Amino acid sequence: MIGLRCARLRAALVDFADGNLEDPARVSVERHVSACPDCAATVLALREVPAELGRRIRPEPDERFWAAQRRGIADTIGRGVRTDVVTHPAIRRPTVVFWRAVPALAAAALIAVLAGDWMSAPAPQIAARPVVSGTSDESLAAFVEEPATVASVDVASLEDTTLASMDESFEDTLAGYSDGNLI
Amino acid sequence: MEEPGTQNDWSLVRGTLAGRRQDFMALVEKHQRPLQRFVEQRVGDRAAADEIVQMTFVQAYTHLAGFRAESSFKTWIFSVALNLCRDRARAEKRRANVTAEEVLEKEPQAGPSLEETVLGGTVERRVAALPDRQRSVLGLRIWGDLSFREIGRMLGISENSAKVSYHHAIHRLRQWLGEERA
Repeated sequence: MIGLRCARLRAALVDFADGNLEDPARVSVERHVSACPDCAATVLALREVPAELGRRIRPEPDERFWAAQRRGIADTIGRGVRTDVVTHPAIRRPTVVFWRAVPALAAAALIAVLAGDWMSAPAPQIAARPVVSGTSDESLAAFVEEPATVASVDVASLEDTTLASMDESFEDTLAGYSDGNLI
Repeated sequence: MEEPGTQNDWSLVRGTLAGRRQDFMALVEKHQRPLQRFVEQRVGDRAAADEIVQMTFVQAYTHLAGFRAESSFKTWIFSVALNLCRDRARAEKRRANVTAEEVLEKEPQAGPSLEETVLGGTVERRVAALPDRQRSVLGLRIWGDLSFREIGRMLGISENSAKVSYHHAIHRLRQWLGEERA
């Protein structure tokens, strides 16, 4: 049975097993461990189990895997793909903000059209939809070697197209990532 | 006090925001391995983990201007990846519920269980059976190579609580490993 002192030492045992405990706390824990078989077994487990888990996990991929992963990331960024339009559940938050605004935009458009008819004004012109550029197959090297001035424009445009369209709640969401509050 | 290597990450973040994409790729190269290891043990599938890791970095790049200096870049991307893993697990669970209903309507078949298929080998299954906080702390510590301080900040708990959760996780895994050997 684990005693009260053992229960209070749980965090310290982790540091002790990792060799991260300094004197005089280390001496105190060491004295307890030498007299307590349960805590001695725990220290042994804290050293052996992580190593055992590391051995049992599947082998690491080779360098080709890591290079392909980097190329995939570079290609996606190079294409200027907005993460808020990728259909993954974790990155759909900005689009929720957009869809919430759709009824209001539709109503505003309807009012504008009706008001235009009433005043016998020419019908408002509907702007053509922007053409989405095709996917590029630029290599990782080309991506990395791109001149800084061009890259600067890309970052700025990404900020314009994504951050500017976010409302306050999404800013909070981003803050939550860094604060760890959303986890 | 800043975590080791954080200072270099900051200069690379600043470089990326100034338009140097090669600085962002340096960040990717620096963090992709621990992130892939962490996500892979979390989702139990290499290809799915690769997809999540790529998505994490793309999202980090897109929202880099909103990245706050309160945490390290490493902690930030691990938070994003952990959220993506959890979202995927929820989606998998929904799909698995539907599949299980379909399977129950058909005749039983020999072969790996649904759990084995989804979670892969024994280690992944054992780790996946841990309570969420213990599982997160263990994964971030062993495969993500994060400090308890970083883990605590990420999960919104104290450094001490992260250590206690890690202690519990190791204690439980030791029992399972002992049973396996017996």
